[in-house]
Amino acid sequence: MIEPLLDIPRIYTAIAEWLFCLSFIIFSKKRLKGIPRIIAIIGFLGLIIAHQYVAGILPIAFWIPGMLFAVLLMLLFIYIVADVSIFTAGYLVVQAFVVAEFAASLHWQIYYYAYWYFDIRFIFFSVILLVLFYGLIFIVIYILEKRYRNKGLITDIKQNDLLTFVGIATVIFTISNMSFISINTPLSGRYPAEIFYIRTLVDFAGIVILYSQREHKLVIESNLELNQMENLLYKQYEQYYISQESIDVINQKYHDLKNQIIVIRQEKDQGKREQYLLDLENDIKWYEAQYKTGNQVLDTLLSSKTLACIEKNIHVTCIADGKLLDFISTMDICSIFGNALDNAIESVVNIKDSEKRLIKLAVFSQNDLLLIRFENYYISALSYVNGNLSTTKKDNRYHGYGLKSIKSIVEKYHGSISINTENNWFRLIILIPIPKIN
Amino acid sequence: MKFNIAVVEDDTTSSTIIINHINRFSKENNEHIEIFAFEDGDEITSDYEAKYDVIFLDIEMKRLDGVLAAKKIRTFDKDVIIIFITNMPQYAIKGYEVEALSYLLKPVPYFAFQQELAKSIERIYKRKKQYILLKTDNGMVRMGVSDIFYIETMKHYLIIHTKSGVYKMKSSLKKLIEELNNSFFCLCNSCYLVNLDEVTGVSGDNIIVNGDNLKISRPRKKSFMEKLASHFGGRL
Repeated sequence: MIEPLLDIPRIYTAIAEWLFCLSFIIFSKKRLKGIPRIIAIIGFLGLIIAHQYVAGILPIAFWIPGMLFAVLLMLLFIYIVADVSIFTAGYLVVQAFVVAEFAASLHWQIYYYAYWYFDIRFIFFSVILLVLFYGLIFIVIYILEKRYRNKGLITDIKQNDLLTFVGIATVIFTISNMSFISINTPLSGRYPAEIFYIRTLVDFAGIVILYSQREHKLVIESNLELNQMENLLYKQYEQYYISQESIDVINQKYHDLKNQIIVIRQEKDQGKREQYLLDLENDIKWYEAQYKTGNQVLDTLLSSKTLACIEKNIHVTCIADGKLLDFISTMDICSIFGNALDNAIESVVNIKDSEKRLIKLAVFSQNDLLLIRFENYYISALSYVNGNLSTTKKDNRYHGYGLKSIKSIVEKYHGSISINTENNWFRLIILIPIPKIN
Repeated sequence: MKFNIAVVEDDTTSSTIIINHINRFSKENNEHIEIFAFEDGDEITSDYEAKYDVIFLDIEMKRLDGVLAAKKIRTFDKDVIIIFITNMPQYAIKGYEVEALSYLLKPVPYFAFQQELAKSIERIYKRKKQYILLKTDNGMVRMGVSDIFYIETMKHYLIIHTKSGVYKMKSSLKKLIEELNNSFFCLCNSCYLVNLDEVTGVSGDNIIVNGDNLKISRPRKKSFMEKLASHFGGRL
């Protein structure tokens, strides 16, 4: 089995690991800029080569720890050079690692073939092949990454995504290297050419699987976005519909009123007339009680949310200076108030004692700062995790979802949000600097 | 501590309910409360005495309605906590004009009432005036903490910008922060300690305090802004 050229020279492996890490972070946000970035990139090439050199000397028992250390180095490389979360760095490393394995394997397989079958044996031939194959694969990755960057997908990697990736990569790596450990498994090849071919093929399959996972994530995410848009449109439609309904009711009232005026006009008894007028006044009082905050969008939104609250026996109080919201777009007002009130409603609706279903809203200013405050009473199974208070999972999820979109809007206006829970009150406070009109 | 609470309400049924609530609250929480009852807005505003801690103020009154009464009260008394009472839901109360950010709906239920009053009392405890002694170059100065705009460090000196002028003293921020022991103060970068109450605006990476632009350092920006939001949002 021991034959020359069975092992890929360590330096080639090192170059592959370094180069393909680089290929995945070209479009990422930079953590280091300018000269430090270049020093870090070159420094890591040195480190990775040094590690491969040391790993080459160590006995075979250190093969797996050596591999893990190589992955760790790559992780550090990506994490230090690119401004990404540790999960994203892990996600990128897995791909870089599989691609590096594939590139090294493919290159060596071709070289081996040329060496034995065409007798091309001059020393630089392997280097020429290396430049050719690594270069080609680098370009393909470059094009693919550019496409992902344009679709804005490498930012949001979660723990689950990373776990899936690590799982896939582990399986790929194990199968592709099976033949090198033992030839006595059903998955092993017997001849070097065969062994190389299996490795290249399995690595290639790995790349295909990883990329199809990414595509899958892309589709899911764009669907999610579409759903959110549709939701928003539907909500606006809902509000429009409610406003329409109110107009119908008011038209109806107008006709009633007209008839009542006719009756009053014909009434001769002073006392009865007075009574009629009093009834009338009481009748119309409720129609005066529309929200008039000074911002039409907020008025419409509050009216529709309050209708929902009346139905559910939730008490809402609101003190709002709507004029302060003039610099915020309609869409953003809908989103901030809609989401925050929905969260609050969802939180109080399950409280058994309807007296405790309280929601309070305030919009006010403190000099040149706009403040929006949502408060709701809550009763939930609070639990202590490592000494810190944490709400129930369900609570976190729905609050989390709406909050995320509120947060991104508030940040757009250079504001910030603060959340606290005190004496059973959940309090969301939004602070936005009021832009100066020059 | 004793609390003075005024109830201004022309409807006797409602007024009785509120007074009963206050008595119940006083018993349950062991707070000493004196109640002052008025039957219309003009009764409390004429000869107004700034002795109340909390005023429950009905909005719909015959002679002087609650909102106008509140405006009058505010010209005499900036500190009193005003809580409106109304029988019109959804009515756009311009409470923000008189620094009243909540109201109660008639008939006032005990739970909501008790929540409001408890919050008000907590607030009153918190804002009790606090003083510190400053060893300035020109002798000792007793300074109200709320009169400080911000504190600047310069080498081994502290420069204290206050409503009564600028003071210089030999000390360190660390020592002063310990002494202040006050959540209203926050560092916006390593050399400015700011009284959050006095922040009037934010523009880009600067906050505006007493007309001065102070830079917020990048690593502190997020937590500073959150603290500011939570501070102003804690208003009643």
